Amino acid sequence: MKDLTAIFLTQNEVPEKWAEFHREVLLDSLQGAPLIIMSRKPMDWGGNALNLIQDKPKSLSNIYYQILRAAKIATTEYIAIVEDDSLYPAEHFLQRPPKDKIGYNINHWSLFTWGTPTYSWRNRLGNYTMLSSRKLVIEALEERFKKYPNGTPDRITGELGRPMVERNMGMTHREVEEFQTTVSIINFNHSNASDDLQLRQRKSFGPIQAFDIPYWGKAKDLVLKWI
Amino acid sequence: MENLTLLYLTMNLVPWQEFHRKHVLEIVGDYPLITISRKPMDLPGVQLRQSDEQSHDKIYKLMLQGAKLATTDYIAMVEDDMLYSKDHFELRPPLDTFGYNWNRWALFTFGEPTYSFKKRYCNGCSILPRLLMIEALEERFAKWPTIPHYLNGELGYEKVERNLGVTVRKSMVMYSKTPVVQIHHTYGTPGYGKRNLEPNDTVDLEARKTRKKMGMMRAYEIPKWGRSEELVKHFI
Repeated sequence: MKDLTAIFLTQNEVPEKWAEFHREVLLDSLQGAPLIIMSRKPMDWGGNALNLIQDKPKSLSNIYYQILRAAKIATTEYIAIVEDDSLYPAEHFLQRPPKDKIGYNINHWSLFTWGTPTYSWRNRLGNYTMLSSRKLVIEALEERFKKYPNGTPDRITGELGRPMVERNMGMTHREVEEFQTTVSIINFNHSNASDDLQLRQRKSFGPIQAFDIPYWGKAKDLVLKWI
Repeated sequence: MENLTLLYLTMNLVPWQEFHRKHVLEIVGDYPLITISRKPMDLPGVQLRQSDEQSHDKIYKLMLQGAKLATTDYIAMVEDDMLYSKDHFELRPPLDTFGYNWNRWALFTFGEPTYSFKKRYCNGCSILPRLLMIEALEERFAKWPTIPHYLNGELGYEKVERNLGVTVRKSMVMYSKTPVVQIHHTYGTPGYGKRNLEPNDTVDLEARKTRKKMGMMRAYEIPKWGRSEELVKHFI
């Protein structure tokens, strides 16, 4: 895979054993694709992984700022966002949406670290599933930070291509391409997240729910990896 | 008095007829029930008969017939290959909008037993304002005495209504708390597919019945209905 770079965002706040498990799954799925790690603490993964330290305080705006930094360093046609609380199947990184659209994988399940272990889905785009043309992402994020040089306000910050987000921020609307893999992305909802609802464990499950799914298995078993 | 009527359409062809009849008895509660079947059925409510013809055009004509007979504000379609949760029937779209429950898992009787999910409307998941339904169906049949299969589709589905050249009416996605399950099998109304076949499309109607693809979001176990390999065994 030579035309895609994974941009791995981490605050290094996830549990240690989970981080080991996550690394193992991620490297297996990336199959040697270039990786840029944007972390708080140094992370020497060797190989073709490049590590940069996040240089702004934790915020929603910072997420997108670090993506922009990494996207400018990358040289591939495509970038894929990797978050430290999400598990990706290999086929996700093989997707290539049109270069004039922001791509999102809509086959994603949320798995909460609290409550009855349940996979749940809601009909919304998640930054952790974005895989897009690098140039398009740079263009969109440079427009954001040109207008908000001190960072975008958290209350209106959100995914690229989401009409409401771009309208509220006064940005050019960029089209979204939804794609699907046969194996899902799993996004853990936990109390170390940036989202206030997750911090307070007040977030509710999405309306579509399952207990056992292909490849990842039973929710009650997978959630045990979050330790 | 409930403000929703269950409109149950069945050709009495599915193998689990008795299992499903008991299911209907469980879900019907105090709702009025109109059954349009090919054979007499031991169910409460109003019973009407339908012919042997299997077509999508006929389904929508029966829906119009049932809607005109009902007196409630809403109609919930009930299909003989679907299992419903009681809270599905508590969903209510506004009276100017067709509602579709997206909390629906498909379960195929062929291939590995797997629940799968697609973001799309399904007639058997609909909660339809009755007067709006009558208005929309009468408009369709005034323009198309017989609607070709490749043009037919759910009320309020924009693409369908544009292709039919009728008024595009509002529709919305709803979610019941508990899912409903739709069995995909080989006894259904033949879907001949697109008007023009792709070069590699089979013309074998039997083969076409089992070529439908699962949705990409898949599960082996879901709330209320349990494991897919167990639930599918009821469809015998």
